[in-house]
Amino acid sequence: MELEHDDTADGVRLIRLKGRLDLEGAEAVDLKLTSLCAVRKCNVILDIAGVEFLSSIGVSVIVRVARALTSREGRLVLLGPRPNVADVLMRTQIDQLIPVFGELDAARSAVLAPA
Amino acid sequence: MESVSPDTLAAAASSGLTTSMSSRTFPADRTAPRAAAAWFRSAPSGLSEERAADAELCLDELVTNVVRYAWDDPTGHEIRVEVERGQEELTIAVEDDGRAFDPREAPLPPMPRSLDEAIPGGRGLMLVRSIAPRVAYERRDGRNRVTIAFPLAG
Repeated sequence: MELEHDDTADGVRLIRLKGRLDLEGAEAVDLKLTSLCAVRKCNVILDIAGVEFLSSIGVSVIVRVARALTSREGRLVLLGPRPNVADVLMRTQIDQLIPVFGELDAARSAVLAPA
Repeated sequence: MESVSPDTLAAAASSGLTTSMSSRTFPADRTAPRAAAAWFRSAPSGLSEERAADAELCLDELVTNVVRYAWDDPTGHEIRVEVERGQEELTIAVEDDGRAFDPREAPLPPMPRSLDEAIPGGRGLMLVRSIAPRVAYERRDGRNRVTIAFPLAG
């Protein structure tokens, strides 16, 4: 599981995940992802276009990160899930709690929109 | 016990008249879900692409659950996965010698209405129970055996 991140000029932190977000993948990225999101007023776009497989344990990691961000006045949106990954987000109804976007521009507008 | 030659089994499998079965055992550690999923993908399942992806997800979830909860310490334990292709459905069985656990009866977390309510865990079994058309459970000789079944394509 690969993780990289960029902080853009408009204050958005873009984090890209690549690989299988299963038990092994979740354990591999959990610490780094958590520390990247343990910041006050941080708006994060989590780009999951490179995530080829998402299991419930990966969903748990995403939920935990979203909660950590919102508790510090930040925000999380998801970007670009593949159909099988979008399906898991839908079945667990996480897409009702964490906005999901197909395009970066839409994700950026949403994460920067005033509360 | 009646012995059946491999040739007979192969012929029966290719004729589609009876079933073909394969199994593999995985060490019960954090690599097990991925290894089991890769093994499942490595052989043609006879399922449609979408159903094969569903089956792979359910298998991953069941194995993950066993690794995380079946023992206080899974070190040294194993998980056996069996894939059987019948005439009408593909069944996947996951076996372990951990504490008795019926995934059909485990309570599911409520669907959260907000992030604050969203608890981090408990979604794996919900996925399995909502995706797999059939889930069976058996406890025998100190072993759990969970079977899920998917209708074959065609």
